[in-house]
Amino acid sequence: MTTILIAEDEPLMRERLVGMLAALWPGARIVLEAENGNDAWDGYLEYEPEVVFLDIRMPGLSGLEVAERIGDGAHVVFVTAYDQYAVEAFDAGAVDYLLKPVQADRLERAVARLQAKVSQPPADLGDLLRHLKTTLPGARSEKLKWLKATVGRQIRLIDVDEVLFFQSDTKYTRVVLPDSEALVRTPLKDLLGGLDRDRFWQIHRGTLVNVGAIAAVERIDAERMQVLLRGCEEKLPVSRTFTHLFRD
Amino acid sequence: MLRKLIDWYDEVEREQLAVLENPALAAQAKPGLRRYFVSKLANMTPLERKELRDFCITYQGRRLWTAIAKLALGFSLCGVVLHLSLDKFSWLGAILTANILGFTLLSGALAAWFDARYVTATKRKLAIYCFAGIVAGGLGAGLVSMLIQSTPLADVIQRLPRLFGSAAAGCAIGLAPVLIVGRYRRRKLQALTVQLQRDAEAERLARELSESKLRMLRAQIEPHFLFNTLGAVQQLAADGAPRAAALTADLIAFLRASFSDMRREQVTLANEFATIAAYLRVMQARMGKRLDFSLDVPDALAETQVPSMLVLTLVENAIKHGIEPSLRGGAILVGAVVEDGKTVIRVRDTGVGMSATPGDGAGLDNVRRRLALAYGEAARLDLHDADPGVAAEVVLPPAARIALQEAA
Repeated sequence: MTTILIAEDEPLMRERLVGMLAALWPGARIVLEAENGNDAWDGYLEYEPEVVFLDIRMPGLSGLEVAERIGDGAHVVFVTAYDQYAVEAFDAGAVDYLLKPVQADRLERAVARLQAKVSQPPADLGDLLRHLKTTLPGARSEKLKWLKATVGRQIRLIDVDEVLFFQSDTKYTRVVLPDSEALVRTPLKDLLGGLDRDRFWQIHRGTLVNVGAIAAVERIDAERMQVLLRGCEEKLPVSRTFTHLFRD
Repeated sequence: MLRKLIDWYDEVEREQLAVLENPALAAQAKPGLRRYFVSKLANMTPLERKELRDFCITYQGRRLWTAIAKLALGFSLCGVVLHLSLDKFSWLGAILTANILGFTLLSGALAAWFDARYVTATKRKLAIYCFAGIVAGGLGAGLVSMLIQSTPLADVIQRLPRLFGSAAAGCAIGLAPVLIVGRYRRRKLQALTVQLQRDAEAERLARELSESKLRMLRAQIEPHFLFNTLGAVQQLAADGAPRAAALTADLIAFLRASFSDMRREQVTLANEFATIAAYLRVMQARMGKRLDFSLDVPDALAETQVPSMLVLTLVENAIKHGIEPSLRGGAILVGAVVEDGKTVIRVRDTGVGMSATPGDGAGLDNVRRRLALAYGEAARLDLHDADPGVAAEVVLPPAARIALQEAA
């Protein structure tokens, strides 16, 4: 059974896409209906769906940013009301997309194409997306420099560059520094969009690690790895999705 | 020979007319005297050039010669009168003198008419040239009579004071009308220039105003807004939800108000708030629980006139840059009050705040421009962080109503 993730911020549009997909593709299962880009990315890591429908304009990570992170991990179909520039690039790059409001005949064709290629490895849209992302209005360019963390009765200001790693702790995020640690009230999935991706690598659904703090990577068995840090005893597991970061 | 002369004259005339129309062509004229002359033409103000060009076109070709013939006839008649009233002049002398004097004065007056700025600015130089010219002429005549009629040098020297006297008198008589014409024309041209500038400024403002309104309208019927809203309507209709009709009604109200406001400069605050309410209900239908809003306009302010689409633009901005990018959404609060006699309209959102979406001020620039066009310095738009979100505040002067009505 094909697994599908849908990311669309407007409830009625989400309802529409879900309903139409259920009718047109009874053999598929919708594993998550995400309301924003952050949930979409987090849900992708949790469910590892084969097909992802991404609205381009969403709060948090944009659809293009989520697709860039997914890389060749799933078959991506973009959904947009009107982003002429992106649509032209999709046409040129043979990328699947749907125009909102989604009409049944158009969705039917998209489903037929997906059914035909779902057993094959997905295409990597990396280059196309890195280029497109910067041209879309509202593209986030500012990165987080400081974090506010409550420690007892104090509010601590943490320089992001000093953080060794971030670890998800249900609704909070554990921020680990060389000599101390703190909890921030933002979940990890809502934090990662504001962090520099070249500096903080995601190695697990719940872990972001500062590349500068990595001492070594250890192979546990054929599938599993763990990261060893400078100035910290803790060992951080690397999930299967991210082991490619450490392969030669 | 004559043919060549006529061709040359035609060419020069064409060249000058072309330069009068487009001064940039002066650089292409033949170097030498001709370029020097057209460069003078190119330095005139556009208004002066236009008048001179109109005159040149009116008196082009044959009409010029007829005009000159008529004038010569008139001056000759003056010469006849001169001869009959003063015995001193012979027939020929009187007619010649009248023509020379007449054409000299006329060309001086024409120069003053069309180049008043130059003539009035250089009146001292002109007076010196004129005086020097007459004295030189007198001395030349003295020299000729010395050589031909063997007048003794002493006689010539004796006549010098008289020569200087008549040169001064000639100067005064010749230059006075030129300067009077010049000064009259300069005043007239200045007034005309000021008037033209004022007209151009008014036209520019009107154009900017309609452009700015068009930009606001375009923001409202933007494809993302329309397609997403239509998608919501389609989904509700497919479900058979009664909300489909309500959403359509709000969309219609909003679009209708947008199109009619486009043609109006001002609307009442009650009208503007009704449009905003329709817009926010549409957005709420689409965004669901992510959007909350409240609108509050006191009855006393309902009839206050405000620039059309202005507060709406602020609300759209709050949605676009505050609520839409926010993960949890937020609320929009719109209110109007009177403070110190001024109308203060506030649009507050609890969205992501200014630092999260930097650099996008096109909508706000538009609002500021509209305010400046309608009220000058008297109105303002302030924006500040409200944590969470942003508060925008428009302050309209107490005399807003009067100023707007005058403009309209």
